[in-house]
Amino acid sequence: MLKIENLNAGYGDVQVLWDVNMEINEGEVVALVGSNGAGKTTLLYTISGLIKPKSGSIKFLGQEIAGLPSEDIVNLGISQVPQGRRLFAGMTVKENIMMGAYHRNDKEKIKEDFDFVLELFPRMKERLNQAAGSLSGGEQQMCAVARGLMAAPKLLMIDELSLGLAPLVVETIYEAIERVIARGATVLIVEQDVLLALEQANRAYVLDVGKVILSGSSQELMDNPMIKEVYMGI
Amino acid sequence: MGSLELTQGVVNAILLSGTLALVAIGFSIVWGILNIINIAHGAFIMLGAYVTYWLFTLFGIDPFLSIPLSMITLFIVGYVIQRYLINLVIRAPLLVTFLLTFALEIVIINLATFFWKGDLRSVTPAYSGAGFTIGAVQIPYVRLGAFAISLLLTGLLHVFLTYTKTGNAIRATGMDIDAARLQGVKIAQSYALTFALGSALAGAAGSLISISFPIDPTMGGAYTLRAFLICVLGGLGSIPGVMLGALLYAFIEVFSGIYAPGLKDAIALFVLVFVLIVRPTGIAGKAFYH
Repeated sequence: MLKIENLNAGYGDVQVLWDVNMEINEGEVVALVGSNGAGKTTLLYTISGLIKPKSGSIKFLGQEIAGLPSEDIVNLGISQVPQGRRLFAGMTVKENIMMGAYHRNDKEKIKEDFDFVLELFPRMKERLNQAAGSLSGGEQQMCAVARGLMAAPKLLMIDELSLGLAPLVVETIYEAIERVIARGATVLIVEQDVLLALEQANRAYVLDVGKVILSGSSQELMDNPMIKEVYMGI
Repeated sequence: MGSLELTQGVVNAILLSGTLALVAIGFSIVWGILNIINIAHGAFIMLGAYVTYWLFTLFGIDPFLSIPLSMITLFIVGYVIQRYLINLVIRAPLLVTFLLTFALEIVIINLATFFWKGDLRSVTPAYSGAGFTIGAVQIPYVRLGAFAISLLLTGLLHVFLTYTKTGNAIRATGMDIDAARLQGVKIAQSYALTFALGSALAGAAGSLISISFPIDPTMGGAYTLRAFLICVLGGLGSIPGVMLGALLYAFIEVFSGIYAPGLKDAIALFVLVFVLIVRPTGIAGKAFYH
């Protein structure tokens, strides 16, 4: 579904990603793990078109999307729940969620999806007319995931969902995401919490200082002594 | 000073606040969403005033009826200027856009002076001096009409920004550009539309001003200053903030005109400094458009 080859990208003169190769198949849940500053968010921004790559190729459903403007990439079916949630703080929860469907015109399907995300996150139903900035951290993350889902993505990318949230809240949100996955969604999960990510995913890539240093099935990585030592502290 | 003078002052200030809110609102959305302090805003107001003046003088079109034409004209002017000029420096530091719009103001004023001369001109429909009185308080029709239209346009802007998809996209752009792009918002389009709307509202303000006050090509500068003061007083980023700022500023302008003519700007700036010390975000705070 998504095929990244020899991708180089960064900010201005600072190169962050070095010859990154990665592949996500339809229906798969893939984790991208790595420590702070490894380039995970940069990779997601490049896929979403917020950053123009220096070189390399990103193919989505066979089409080259490297360098396309972000609105075209959303239209093709890639949606992102960005790190730090990035909600529109002054807008209501409902307005935020509906912004996810901004590029869509299929009114009835939008209504269906809206009902679905409210069912996934019943807490959002109670908060619909509240300003998003007034929500708790966990609620904001629910709102951000709901917004990401409203794009009706073929590929959903979630960046650092667990960051700064209580474990119980993280669990609740991942349970909702599991329901989305059960419906056949393709998901890319980016996490610093390696164990958490590997539990969710079929396969994983390990990014370190902008390079993919390891990849394999989640089980393989969990058994890998280096991963155990460096990322799980076992 | 008697209570009649006081009451008349209050009424004048309230009526003036409508037009001032309209003067400031376009300036405010451009500042809030594009992060551009548009020095040429007053020049757009002047162009709107001249649209009304020429339509009235050449074709006898009622000044109130010419408002939509003035808005459409300025909408197009604003859209083109943003898309093909300001967009070139949109990511540049504030000072660059500041200088660019400053230059733009000079160009527009010079062209206006060249083509239309510097004379003071007036729009004088038959009803321009007429009004009615409540008790002994005088209410001129044109001022009341300007007040009503200002409120109407401000209300329409609020409805547009809150209840339409495009309006929401504009607000989202102002709050978080990258997050807006991730939802598929075309930022360049959002920006051009916002600037065009801001210009159209400046055009409407110019039309209303031309009915009550004499106009000339340099009239805009004073309105840019007023718009700036009102935005900072009320707080950037919300329509209620602008209206509050306009109301406060109108009272300062009217009452300093009665008690201390000539000190108007000094008093306004003094109040501004005071507000900024007590409440640095402005009276209504930073809300980003609702």
